[in-house]
Amino acid sequence: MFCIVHSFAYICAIQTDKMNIENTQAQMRKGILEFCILSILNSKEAYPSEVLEKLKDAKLIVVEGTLYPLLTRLKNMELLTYRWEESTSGPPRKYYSITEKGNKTLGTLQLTWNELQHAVESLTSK
Amino acid sequence: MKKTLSIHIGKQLFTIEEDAYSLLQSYLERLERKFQNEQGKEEIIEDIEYRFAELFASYLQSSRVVVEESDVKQAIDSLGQIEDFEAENETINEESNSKNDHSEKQNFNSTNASGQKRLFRDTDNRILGGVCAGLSHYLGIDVVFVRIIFILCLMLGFGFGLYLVLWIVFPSIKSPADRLQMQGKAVTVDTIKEEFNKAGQRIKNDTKDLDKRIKKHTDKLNAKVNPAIKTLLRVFGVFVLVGTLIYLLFATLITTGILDIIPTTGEEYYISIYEFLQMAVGDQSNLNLIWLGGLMGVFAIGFFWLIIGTRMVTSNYSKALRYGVISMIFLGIIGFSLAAIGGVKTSREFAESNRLEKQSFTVNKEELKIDLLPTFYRSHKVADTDGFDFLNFDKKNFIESGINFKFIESEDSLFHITQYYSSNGVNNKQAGNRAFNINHKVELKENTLLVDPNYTFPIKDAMRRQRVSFTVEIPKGKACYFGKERVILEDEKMSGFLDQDGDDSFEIYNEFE
Repeated sequence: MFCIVHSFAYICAIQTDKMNIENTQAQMRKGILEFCILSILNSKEAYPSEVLEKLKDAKLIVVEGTLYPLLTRLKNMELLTYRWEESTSGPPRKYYSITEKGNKTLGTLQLTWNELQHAVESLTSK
Repeated sequence: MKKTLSIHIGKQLFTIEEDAYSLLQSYLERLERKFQNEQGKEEIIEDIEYRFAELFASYLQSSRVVVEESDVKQAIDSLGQIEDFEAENETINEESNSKNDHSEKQNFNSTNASGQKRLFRDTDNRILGGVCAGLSHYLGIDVVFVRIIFILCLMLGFGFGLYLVLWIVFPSIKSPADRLQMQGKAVTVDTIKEEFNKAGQRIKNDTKDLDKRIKKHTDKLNAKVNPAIKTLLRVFGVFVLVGTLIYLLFATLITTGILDIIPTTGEEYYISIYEFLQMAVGDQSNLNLIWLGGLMGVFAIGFFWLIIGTRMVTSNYSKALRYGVISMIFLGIIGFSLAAIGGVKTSREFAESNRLEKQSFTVNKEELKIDLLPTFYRSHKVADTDGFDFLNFDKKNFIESGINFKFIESEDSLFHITQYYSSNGVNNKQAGNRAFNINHKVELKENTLLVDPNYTFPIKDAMRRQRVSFTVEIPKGKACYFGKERVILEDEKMSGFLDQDGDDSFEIYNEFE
């Protein structure tokens, strides 16, 4: 009887673990994404699809739908700015570029990232 | 052929099929709901609409002019499901809640009073019977308020009955016409047509992503149930741990001999299990096998349950503990196997038996009496034995009781009594030696055979079924008394048993062979 209870509990525990892990993974990604977007736009201006491509090349998978709100938020925080570019083959596009403030924030985030990277490496290399 | 509409999205004009349109519309609606609290929500929606336009333009290219459902699906795939978006200030848990919200609809009052409003139970938007939902249509109050009122009524006592009555009395929606009347809209050809479309849409929406919704619901259920299961396991775990600790405590006490559990009638009253095994097994190597194997097995079980209990209590299912469990199972199996081997080897010591004729008597009298020889050894009688043979011994010898008697008919006119010693051993010789070492007192006084109810044999011989027995030949016509009872031969034989049981020392019985 104990074996039945135990295996049942084991399965439930695995389910909770899975959910908790997905939660943590999402949280991890969320924090890093803004930093990555600022980095991408630091080199040159781009429109959302380009940003998406660069993220995909770097193997950071995001859905488009997540990107738009994020870009808008960063713009509202005055870290990004955009200009409209008319296109012949379709609707006009927003070209995003980084602001001075965004640049400074990028620097700060870079430092934070280095700290974190260091910490994680030293903790997990044992 | 399909009906199309014109839409203006992302500053572009598109012709779009009807079903594609509803798909797109529901996506945008959900989008709006997702970001309803967000600061830049208009911009976000605008961006996404622009993106849709861009995608549609690229899909259509030169050959096609109408946006189809597959295009919308493709665009949605590219943009991602609303559920996977992250709105500001939303955690993953809240996200999963908002995912389930989209299936609920608010029932607002439709005051198009161009028709008669009738009270129906709104079974489309029901929780139980649709009573509250229907009432909300009729009264013009948001359904939430109606439900709150009902719950209050429930607490006051009459809510249950009231709900039941309303459920029975008022009809459910059976046709689009009913639906229109419930909302107070006029029942005309156009409105009916619209209702049919809506019905079709509803069915589509309900079956869409069904598998996804089921998964989300089960995930939510898991989230709710899991903590409950966890606490249940914790409680179980505590019981297991407590039980195991008690078990281990006793195991330690018993095996180390601090707690003596084998009852004896000797001077010590109780001896430890190791001492008992020594006497029973005899051979040292077998004893070691049994003892060590048994120890391993007993403690492996204890640690096994200890680990399981800890896992249940701390909800820690780490690999380390898993290895612990497996290794305990192994140890247990090995331990008990060793003990079993020892046991089997010991049983071989019982393979052969041997019986010695110790002495015989001949009695030429009219009757023979068999009685107890008063024994010097005063044994301490433990209160209730319940059929359990208590161990009896002094410094050097075991003291056994229980002597078998066989009564047969004598071939002549004389009583013949023969005393036998028997024992088991690994071979005949060993059995014979052990039998030889038995010591039993019997005396013949006139016509009375006095039998000591006890016999002894050395402890160093170990317990190997050492027995004393008698064969008594009774001549025809003469009487033999076994204790107070006369022995009557049936089919020329009878059996008797002498035990030191006080008043019932002598027992005659018919042995069925």
